[in-house]
Amino acid sequence: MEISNGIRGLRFRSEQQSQQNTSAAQGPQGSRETQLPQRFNVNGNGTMNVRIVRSPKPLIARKIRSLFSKSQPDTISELFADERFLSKFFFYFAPEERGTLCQVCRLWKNVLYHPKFWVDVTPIIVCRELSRNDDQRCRFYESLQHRGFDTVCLFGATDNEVSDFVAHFQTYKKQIKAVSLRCSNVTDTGMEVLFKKLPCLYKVELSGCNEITETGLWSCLNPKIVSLTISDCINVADDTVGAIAQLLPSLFELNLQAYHVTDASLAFFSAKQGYILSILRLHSCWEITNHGIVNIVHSLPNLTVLSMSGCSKITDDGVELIAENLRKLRSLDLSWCPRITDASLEYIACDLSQLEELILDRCSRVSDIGVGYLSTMTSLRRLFLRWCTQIRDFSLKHIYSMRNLRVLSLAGCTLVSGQGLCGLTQLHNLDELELTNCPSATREVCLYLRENMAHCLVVD
Amino acid sequence: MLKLSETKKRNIKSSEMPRSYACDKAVRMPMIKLQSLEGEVFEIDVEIARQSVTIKTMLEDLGVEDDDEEPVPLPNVNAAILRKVIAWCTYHKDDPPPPEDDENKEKRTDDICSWDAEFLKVDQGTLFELILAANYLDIKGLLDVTCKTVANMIKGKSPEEIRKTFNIKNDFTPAEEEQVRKENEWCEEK
Repeated sequence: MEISNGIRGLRFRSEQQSQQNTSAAQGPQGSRETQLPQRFNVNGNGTMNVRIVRSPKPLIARKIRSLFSKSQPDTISELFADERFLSKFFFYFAPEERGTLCQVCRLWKNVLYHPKFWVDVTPIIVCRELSRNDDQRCRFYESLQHRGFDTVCLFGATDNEVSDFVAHFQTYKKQIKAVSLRCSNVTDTGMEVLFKKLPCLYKVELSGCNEITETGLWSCLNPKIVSLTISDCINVADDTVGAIAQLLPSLFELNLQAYHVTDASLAFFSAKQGYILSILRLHSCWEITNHGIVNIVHSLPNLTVLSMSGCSKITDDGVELIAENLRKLRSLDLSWCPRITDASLEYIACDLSQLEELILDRCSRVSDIGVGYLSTMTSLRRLFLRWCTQIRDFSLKHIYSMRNLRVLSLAGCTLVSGQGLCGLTQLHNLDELELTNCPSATREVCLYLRENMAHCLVVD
Repeated sequence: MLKLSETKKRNIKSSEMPRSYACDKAVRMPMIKLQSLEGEVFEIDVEIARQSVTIKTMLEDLGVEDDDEEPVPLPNVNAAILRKVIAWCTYHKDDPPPPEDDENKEKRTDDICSWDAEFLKVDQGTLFELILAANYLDIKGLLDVTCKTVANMIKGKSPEEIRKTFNIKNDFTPAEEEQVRKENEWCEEK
């Protein structure tokens, strides 16, 4: 393009020069005007482009002025009062920070009170701090609806507060898709109100709600629920799992943290769930043993995420069952299971060919041999070996060959050396490396790692 | 003043060039002249100038010739700022085009490259002028990095401090102000 223009320009210039010589006597304005008709004559014969490549001064100035004079802010105050600019500018702030920006002036508040700025944000309403004044409370709930929140968290709520909340959201009840109740004294009645009045609820979290009983859950849970999290509710035991298994055929994700849940409860899961349930996390359910795993494996063959974190009675036999039967697993969390040894890792490496994430925090019996087995897994992307205190440099040599790793944590591995850590630069795809509490991860080592792995975040 | 006479000299030279040398010039990068508010003219590579979407659109719409004597007037940009903008565009001329903006996604502000960070170590007035120029000329990369710098500047400030920075009037009544404050006292990301 440039070359052809240049050649055309070459031709123009040579014509111009001859014309300029003839019309040298005239003033600049005059010469321009006479040049125009003359050049057109020349162009008429040739194969010139039809674009206007040179126009009289007034026309070009007018066109430039029209292009540039679209209403653009001239000063900084105008710029920061321009809605179009602000809509883009506010995306440079995290949601917590946008809260402050709402308070600057009315214009900023009006721009910010738009659902697109509050996607993926959950307001935590601390009920005890809610205003006693009806009007203020009403306006507060209105502002939540206005901003299009679909998830709400109620902290420290009582039955009255739940009823009040639901009453205010009546007109927009279809908006709420997920509710979370934390550290609340809500009883079965309150919970019933919540579930009945919010028809589009599909994700529920109950955390630290000690007044809720299993009877309540039996009457509340409805088939629309896709994701359920129950943690630290003292009355939850085997019967709850029975209720879940019976009442929630579309359940996709279950996070359960309950000290009284036993192996028998896991037998409640039937083939009905087996098709859909993909994510199962049993945190700190320390009554679960290998028998429980038999039940899981039998009825839930399609699991992609399994966490047995804190189920301290699990042994290598349990892991063997998991590896042989849950072939679709993508993520496995065996942290805080101190009875796991290298044998488990051998089973995992042999059978779980799709595993992308493996968490072995605090599995203190894992040693270099186990890591050696893991190094054969090409699918592994994220590996967490926090506080696996038997890991030495020999493990690191195995890890060097795991070229697909993106995230690696060696926090608390006290026996690895600085030199071994420096060899980690061979992992070209590493995005994140955690080395907290590693005595050999000195400032020099970290500097070396940061310099040689430019796009990796090294946490120390 | 010096700058103007220098450019004049260059122009005279090009028109007096013998034809064979003009052939070489045909293959060289075309230039464009930009004129600041005070009338100072800067001649730069067209490819560098095309980082400004406004200038690029103008070139495509008007078909301005590469050896045009006519400088493009930029009445909203003074010479000092225009010089800085050209310096930024020249450094970044080989950058890949910025990816299509996902309009509704939160943007990071901690990924300003070190050259840009040094470049933007200027007083607040200059920074604001740069952001205005980048907005006026529609230079995406420069607007992005100046917005990030300004955002970092006001993060953590109270509403009153933010108002002072941008000279914004507080048009809330005391009751409204209290209401908005209460409506924003919480936050958690999913």
